[in-house]
This record gives sequence, C-alpha cells and structure tokens, in this order.
Amino acid sequence: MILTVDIGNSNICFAIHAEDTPEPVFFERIHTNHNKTALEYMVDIRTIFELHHVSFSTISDCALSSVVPVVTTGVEEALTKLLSCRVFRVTPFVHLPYGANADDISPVGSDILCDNAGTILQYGYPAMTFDLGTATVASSLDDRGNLDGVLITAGVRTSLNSLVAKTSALPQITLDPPQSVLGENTAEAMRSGIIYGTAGLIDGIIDRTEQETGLRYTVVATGGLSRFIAPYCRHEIILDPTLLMKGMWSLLRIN
Amino acid sequence: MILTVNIANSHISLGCVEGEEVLFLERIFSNPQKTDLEYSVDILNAFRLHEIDRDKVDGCIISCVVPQLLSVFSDAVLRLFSLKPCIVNAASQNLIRVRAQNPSEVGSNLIVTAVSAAARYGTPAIVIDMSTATTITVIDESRTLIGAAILPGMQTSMDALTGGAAQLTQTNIVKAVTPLGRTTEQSLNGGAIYGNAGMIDGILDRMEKELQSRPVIVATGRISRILIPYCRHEITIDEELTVRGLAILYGEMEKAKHSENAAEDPEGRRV
Repeated sequence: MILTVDIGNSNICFAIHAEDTPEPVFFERIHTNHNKTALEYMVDIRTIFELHHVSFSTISDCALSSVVPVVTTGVEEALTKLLSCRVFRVTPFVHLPYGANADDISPVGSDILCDNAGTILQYGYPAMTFDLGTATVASSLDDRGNLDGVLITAGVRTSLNSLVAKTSALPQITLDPPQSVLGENTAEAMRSGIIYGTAGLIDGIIDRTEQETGLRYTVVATGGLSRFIAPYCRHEIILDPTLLMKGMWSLLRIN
Repeated sequence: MILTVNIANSHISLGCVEGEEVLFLERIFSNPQKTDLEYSVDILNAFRLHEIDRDKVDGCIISCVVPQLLSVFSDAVLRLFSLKPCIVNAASQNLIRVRAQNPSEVGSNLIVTAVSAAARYGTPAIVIDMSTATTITVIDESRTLIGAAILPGMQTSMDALTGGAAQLTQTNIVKAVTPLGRTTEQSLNGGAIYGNAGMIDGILDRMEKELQSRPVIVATGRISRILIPYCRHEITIDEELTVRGLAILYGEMEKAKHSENAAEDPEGRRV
C-alpha cells in the first residue's frame, strides 16, 4: 500500500492508497502544530494506522509534500522511523508529469505541484485547479499540459478570522449557506459576503483567465472549504477532496 | 463650519465642511489606548496644518463602529469645541428607511454612505465601502436600505495570508498584469487584485438581480482607487461619500432638533 502525507499550514493530511488505484482507501487530517516533536507525530500517525487497522509493514512507498518547513523535519523523521520504505519528498526538482511555462518553478509550493499532478491524472488538460485552504490558490495547465500560472489569495477562514479580529462589531460566524445576498443581520451579511464573494472570486478568475488565454478549462476544486463554496459558482466545478493525495500517488510512479 | 468624524476599525477620518465645500479630509490611526487629550491634539493638529481657525466650528457629527472609542472621542470634541457631537445611528435620521432584523445593529457607516449615495446619485444604489471590511449595501427605489454583504477587506485578508502561511511574504499591492502569475509576487498581486475584484463583481451580479431597475454603483474607501478599475461593473469612485453623508445627516439632525424645540416651546415644557 502507498502512504501519502501533505503538510499544509492548517492541517496535515494522511491517505492510504492501493498500489494500483489513486483513490485513497482512507483520508485523515490532524491540525498542524509547529511545536510537536517527531515522537509526538509518531504517536499521531500510529493512532491513524491503528484506527484503520493498517500495519506499517504493508506500506511499500511513501510521499511527503510540505509547505511548512518547520514541521517537515519532525514529520519526515517520524515517518522514517515508522516505515521500512523510502519517504519521497516532493520538491520542484522532482520529475513532474507536466512541463512549466515559468522560467523558474522553484517558488511554486509542493502542494500546488501535487494538485496539478492529480488534475492531469484524473481530468487531463487544459484545466484549472483551485485549492481552498489557508490560502486560496488557483493554478492552470495549458493546452499543451504545461503549468501556466499561479494565483494566491487569502483563504476563506483565514480572511474571515482576520476580519473578526480586526473589527469591534463583527462576530465569528459558521459557514452555513446564506439565505440571501442581501443580509438582514450582521452574521447573514458576513455569510453573504464570504460565500458569494468567494464564489465570485473563483468565477472571476476563471472568466479572466479564459479571456486572456482563449482556452476553455476543466475546473477542479479541492481543499477543506471547497464544498462550502463550489455550489455557488456560475461555472461547473468538479469537487475532489483528495486531489492532492492522488497527485502524490502519481508522482511516486514516475520518481 | 462643521467637523465630521468617521471612527472605523483601522482609521478615524476627520472632515471639515463649510456649506458644500470640504475644506479638509484627514485620517488618523484608530487607537483604543489614546486618551481624550491625545485625540484632541490630533484634531487640533489637523486644523493647524490646514490653517483653519477651529473657533469657526459650530457643530460636530460622529459615526462610530468602534464602541470603545466613542466616548473618548466625544470628550475630545467637547474639550476642543465646547459642543456635544451628534451621533449617527439607524434611528437618528429619516432620510432613508432601514430594513433589518435589528436596525440598531446596522453599522452607522452603512447609514452614512447610503444617505450620501441616495442624495448624490439617486436610487436604487449599491454602495461599496472598502476598508478593514468591504461592505456592499443595497438601497432600493424607495430609499430603503434592504440588505448588505460584509467581507474581509483586501488588506485585511492579505495581512492574514502572509501572517498565516509560512512561505509567503508581504508584498506591495499596486497593480496586476495577469490573473495567474509566474512569480510569487505576480501570483500574490493577481490574487489580491483579481480575487477581490471577482468577489465584488460576483456579489454585485447577485444584488442586481434582486433589484427591479439598474442601480447606480458607488465605491469609496482608500483601496477603491486601486481595485475598482479591475471590476467588470461600471462603478463611480467617490472618496468624499462618507464626509458628504455626514454633513447631510448633520443638517437633518439640526433641523429636527430645531423643529422639536419650536414645537415644544409653546407648551412651556422646555426649561
């Protein structure tokens, strides 16, 4: 079996896949904690394996993607101690299933590299991928299957928390569906703003990119918050919560 | 001559208005720690810088969305000008109606910009106010504020992003060349500009559907100049929207006070 691990700014995700199927057998997340030691991460990983009755000896290959350098070492050490196979780190220098139009893709986060590997594997190209996490990141694969561009903006929860912290009269809200775009109380006005706003952000980025490149993209959304937003978009959007893990699975086959 | 004060979460805007003319519009940083003395010095400095005699000020109006600053700032005004400022809230005016589950909860900044937009541009109108929060308010044909959307302001979400993500650094948002960039800086600029423009366009599309006729769309706030040119909708930028709204509200509140006095005097109820 294959283990894939994705360290994001808010969550660390773990997925187990069969050798021949990208779709994970299970998918779990824990919150990212900068202070945890390798030992503590070992306990977390062991718990996940026990919950799903999987033994470490059955893991034949493992991929690790991280955008949080301070956490990478601890998790990598934990994985190396627990597993008898290699722990393959995704970096911009690994072999990717697509080319790139930028002169230098080293600043592109490994999460985005994996997302696009997942998109090309499952949905082909031209395609646009939205990852809604701590940051909302849009990236595109052009009609030759090359990584074309990346857009980064604040994530839904990130910007909402910041708004609540920086204002006196605005409360923390749940991301329930808004009743109307015309909010008649503060919480409803905020729900309307964040949910219709983020849907508009995604629609706007697709429109402008299609206008600029003249391509029609397949649009895929992933990340913890995508299911709250995608239903409100004008464009047809495929929801794939484990896209990144599938991408990592495919990277292991070619590296 | 009146002093208009808009107390918001990031800044306090001071406007000096004489008749139709805005003599100055200045901003100071909102600081809940400052005392009434310190704020009165800030106000005084604005008058000194513009070489305007503060003794000419015969009225003051305050709109405030930071409750803990209101009494301190009112005291500063009282200390400098020996007058009690008028305070804006949904119930203190009858220029527009407010449809809300709890009208007292409606931010006074929304009332001020709605009054100003209705007076200067007519109705139906949609007002976009871009600061710590971006608020988008809808005023229908019958001058009723029928609802709002509140979303994180561009700088607020940008600060949160660079503070919350380990591999992203602060970048100066000026303009974006392309939505999907090829360097981190381009990617962040694209996200801030096209992302926020898309948010506003998306909300405007849905709001327009709720109105019977085509609304006038007006934007104000210091970020509007950077961002609004990237929106698909036709939007007028008016940086004096709030100060003018406050001046209109002041006039109305004074008129109401006088007619109240006139009505009450014959009864002999006033001391």
